Amino acid sequence: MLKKIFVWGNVVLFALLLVAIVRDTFRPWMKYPREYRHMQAAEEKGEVRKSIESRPIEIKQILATDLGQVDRCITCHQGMDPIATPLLENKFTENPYKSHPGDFLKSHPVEKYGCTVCHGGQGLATDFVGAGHAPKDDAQRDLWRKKYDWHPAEHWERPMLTQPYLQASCVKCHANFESLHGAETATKGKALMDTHGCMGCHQWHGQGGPISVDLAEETANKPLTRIDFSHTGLEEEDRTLLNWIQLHFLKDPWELNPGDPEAKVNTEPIAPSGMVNFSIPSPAHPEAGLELSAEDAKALTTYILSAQSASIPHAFYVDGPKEPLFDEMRFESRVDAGKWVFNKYGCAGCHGLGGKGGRHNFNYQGGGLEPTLTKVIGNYTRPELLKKLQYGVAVVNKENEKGPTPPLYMPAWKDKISPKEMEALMDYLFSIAEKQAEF
Amino acid sequence: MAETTAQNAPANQEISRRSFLKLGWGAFLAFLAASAGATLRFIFPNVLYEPPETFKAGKPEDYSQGVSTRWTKAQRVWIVRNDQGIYAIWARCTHLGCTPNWFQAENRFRCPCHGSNYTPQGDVIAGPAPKPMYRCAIRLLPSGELLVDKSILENRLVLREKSQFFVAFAGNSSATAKA
Amino acid sequence: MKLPFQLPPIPKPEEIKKKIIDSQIWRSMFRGGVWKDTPRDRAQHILGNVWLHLQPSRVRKHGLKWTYTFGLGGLSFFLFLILTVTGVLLMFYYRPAVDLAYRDMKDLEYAVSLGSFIRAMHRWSAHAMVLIVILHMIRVFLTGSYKSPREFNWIIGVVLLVLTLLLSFTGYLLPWDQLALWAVTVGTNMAAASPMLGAEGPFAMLGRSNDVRFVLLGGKAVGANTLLRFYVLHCVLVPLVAGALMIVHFWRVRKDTFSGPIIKPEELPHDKVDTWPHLIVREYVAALLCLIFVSGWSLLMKAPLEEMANPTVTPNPSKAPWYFTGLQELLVYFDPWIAGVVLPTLIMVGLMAIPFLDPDKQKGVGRYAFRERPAAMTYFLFGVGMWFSLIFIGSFLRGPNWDIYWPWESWLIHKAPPPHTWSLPIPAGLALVGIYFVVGMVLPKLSKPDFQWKSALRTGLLAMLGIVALSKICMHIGWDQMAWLFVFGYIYYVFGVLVPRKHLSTQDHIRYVTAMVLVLLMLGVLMKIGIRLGFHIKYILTIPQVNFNI
Repeated sequence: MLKKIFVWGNVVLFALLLVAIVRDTFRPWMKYPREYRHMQAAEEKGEVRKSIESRPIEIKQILATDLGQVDRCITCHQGMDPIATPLLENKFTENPYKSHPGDFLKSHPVEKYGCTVCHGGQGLATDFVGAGHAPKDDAQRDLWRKKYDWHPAEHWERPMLTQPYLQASCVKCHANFESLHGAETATKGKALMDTHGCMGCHQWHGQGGPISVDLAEETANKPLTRIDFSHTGLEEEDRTLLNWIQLHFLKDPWELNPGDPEAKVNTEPIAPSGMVNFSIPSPAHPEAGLELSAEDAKALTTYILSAQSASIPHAFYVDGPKEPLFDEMRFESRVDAGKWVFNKYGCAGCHGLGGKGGRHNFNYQGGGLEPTLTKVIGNYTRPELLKKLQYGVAVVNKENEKGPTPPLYMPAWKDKISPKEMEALMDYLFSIAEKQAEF
Repeated sequence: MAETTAQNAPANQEISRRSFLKLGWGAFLAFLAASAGATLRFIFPNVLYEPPETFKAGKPEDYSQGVSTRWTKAQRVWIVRNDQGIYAIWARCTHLGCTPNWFQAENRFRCPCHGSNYTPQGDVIAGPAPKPMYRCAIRLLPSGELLVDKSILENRLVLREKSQFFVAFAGNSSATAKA
Repeated sequence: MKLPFQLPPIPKPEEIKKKIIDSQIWRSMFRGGVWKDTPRDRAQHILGNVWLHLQPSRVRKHGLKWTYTFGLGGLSFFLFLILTVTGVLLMFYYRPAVDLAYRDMKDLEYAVSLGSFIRAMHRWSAHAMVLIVILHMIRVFLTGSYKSPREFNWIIGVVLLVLTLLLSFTGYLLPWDQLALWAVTVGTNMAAASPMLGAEGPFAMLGRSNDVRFVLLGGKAVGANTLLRFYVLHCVLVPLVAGALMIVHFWRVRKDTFSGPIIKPEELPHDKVDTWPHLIVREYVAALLCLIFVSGWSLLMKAPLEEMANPTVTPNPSKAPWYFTGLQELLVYFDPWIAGVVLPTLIMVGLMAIPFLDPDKQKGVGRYAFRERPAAMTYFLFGVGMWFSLIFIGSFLRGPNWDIYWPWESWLIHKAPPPHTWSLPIPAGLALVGIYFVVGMVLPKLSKPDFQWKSALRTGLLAMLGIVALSKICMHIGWDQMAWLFVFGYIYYVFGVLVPRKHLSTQDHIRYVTAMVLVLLMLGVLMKIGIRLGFHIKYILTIPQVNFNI
């Protein structure tokens, strides 16, 4: 018995080590540079062909020292390897062989920038799943599942970005992204953020209303463990920061953050999220369909993702045009100037586009709706309105006294809106007021 | 012969055998104790490469009622605003030092390591944590900004509401409330 | 073709072998000469070899049985050897600095030849070693092999168990991932809760910048200094200490010989066989199977590596390695210094005290003698069972926010937060704890130890049902609380009253009191867990001034 174990045990042990060695020697990535070499050699003759055929199969990496980043993507993506493909151009159309589309690599030399600074993913990985590849759609996801046994890279919070989200990376360095070719979605996202009044409640790097979180500092950099996905209904695989942000535009935010309005688990009732439900038509323009389309949601998500922190040295940044100041702007009329102020400070976030149609505010007196500005402004005198704008209404009246505190309130704007802007804003507000019949 | 001289010798010398042993071993033991002490001292670093413990947290007006997670990632601090004023909680579970997460929907901080639950005031309502979470010293600078100091901490019920750990709103808040 | 010179005749293999063995070079290294497999040769093989002579030249047949030792002690040492070899290999690619360590781990995973395999071997062997060392200890207890004259070696064994855990714990930080950082944060905060020496413990005399945690971390929080300290501890200091103690441990085993049933001295020579080859071949086979298992496992399972360490974000849930999840689960129910310092110390002291508490010096040695040592076996297995149950709960039943998730439940579902808990007022707590210990001491002594098990168990069952029904009527407790009360009450009745009455109450006073205190403490831990889970009572006795919360 012992003799048998002795003999077979030693055989099995050797076999196991052999398996380990074989598995280590023939790694899945090797077939791509080999195939690429073969494809390249087929087009050449003579000495050139020989030199191509003798190119070693090895792990290749770009040391982007300035960015503190090591990318091994070119091990497989040889069309972007400056040694295998000196001109960084080839006529192959399939990944991983094809060269980089567009002329981005001309202005972003691959030796200096590497890959992951724009594309995301795990640069050190040398296998398909570990690299953090992200499918662009469901069809590709299904294909990858079959072909590569794909799943999201474990313990890697920043998977690769697909289009159009990839445009978020342009904004990281290019402050002039609004004039850049190829960053249209990000540009659209920023414009949508202004018109829909996100900044009335949220901030962007500290600028904006105080009611909710800072989209740039907090949301874009939120670690996954801090996100309460439990009300999203997302599968584990889809529990990414990108989907979390995007869901706020595609679903009713009340569902994502339902609060505890009846105080079931707490002694104190908590109102659900105060955020606008963008997945229904806007009360101001019900005929226009959904307030935000799926495309709009992608654009907004792209822009928010651009605020993900990355340690990029200052030399990489490109200056953009300065944000226009009120004093430097030329307006057709005072009312136009006021409208600009109304949009800049995100008043539409609560009061609706053009002040038409109040938003939901849970347990707020008057049916849980913010007042429609066009209807109530007429009741105020100018000094009364000024005081309201300057000091806000920190404590709002509850519909149900025992219910939760309504999530939205009027913040104090006196330190944020300059006196000149304030005057113009009031001009605008009085101009949109509907004339009320005297009692 | 040699043995007898060896035995008699100590008596003739200035140091007796007993005091010789006492002094010799005593000195050696002292040496051991001193080297143990010196080694202990050696492993206490004199300089640390840790980030500073104070930071500016913007203006009180930038915070809405409730818990703000704006500084959790960079500074490990929550800024909480209530009707009376603003305070800062050090985001460290008093049980074993993990960072609890804020759950808006449940109005609780919940620790992922051993399941301690806290109210927005930092008081324990479930789980093993023995003490309320610590509050950091916070004060209003003349510039209108808040300065949070994580090196000064307090978690006792009455003291934590006192000036050093609490920025109360002056007439401003009541004016706001009335308006 | 004819050669111009004569070729010497080709020597036969046996002649070559003889020539080599007789040569001066060979003889200078190996003294035995040609192997003739005589008893003298066999003995000389063991005694003349520095590595093999830690074994005696002849061993009793009894010690060779697989079902006696299961080779566990040898395997512990063999795993230590695997860990040393793989560990040294890993050191070639690893730099203990915060900005390099994690990247080096990724390199081992993705770029280094066989890096992933060797790392997996190291990781899984470490887990296996902890398990095997624990099993070895259990085996030594069950066969009574700690009894005189082997008491001191048992104590060294307990120290070696602690060192094994310490080796594993210090190695845990080195990958510098989230798992590492938070396990070490929790572990070192337990140190900070120790009395007097820790900044957050009772009677604290030191501050955050000079207490025991500060020394361990080399700073106020886990950082670059900590990584370097743990690296030095893991690679140099602890292995050296453990190695030194291992030598003592083995030496004692050799001097005291393998434990076995006591036989007459004149029978002893007939009971012995040569170590070479009988014991050596078994050791070889055990090591071989172990190596096969560890290699196969490492081929199938990669060593885990989470996100890079981030001192401001705690993963949810944040779990310790499996052998500490029991302790982590215990920490849910007690103050950190009770669960993290007092209870582990008591467990270790309790384990070390076992040989001295045991009244029968020679009873049940060398056999799994359950009938001869009923009390010792019962309480040891009860404790081991409790420890592994806690490990099971912590590892498999705890999910996000440390909520209970049954194995069939997905972690993705939302769980309502735990209900508010409350603590008893100090006088009630003091009274309850006092009564528990005083009455617990007296109860087993109240009646005679010669009772009938069946009737005693039946009486207890009926009494327990009565008490539960009475509390249902008087205090309106819920159905689930009735179940808690019944189960834990009955466990106390059996293990806290009946077993001590039968087996402990006849011992002398010192032994009875010491054993009873340990038994009551062990059961008390269990009772406290039941009180928290069933009745939402946070602490029975809480004295905040000295952090005394139980």
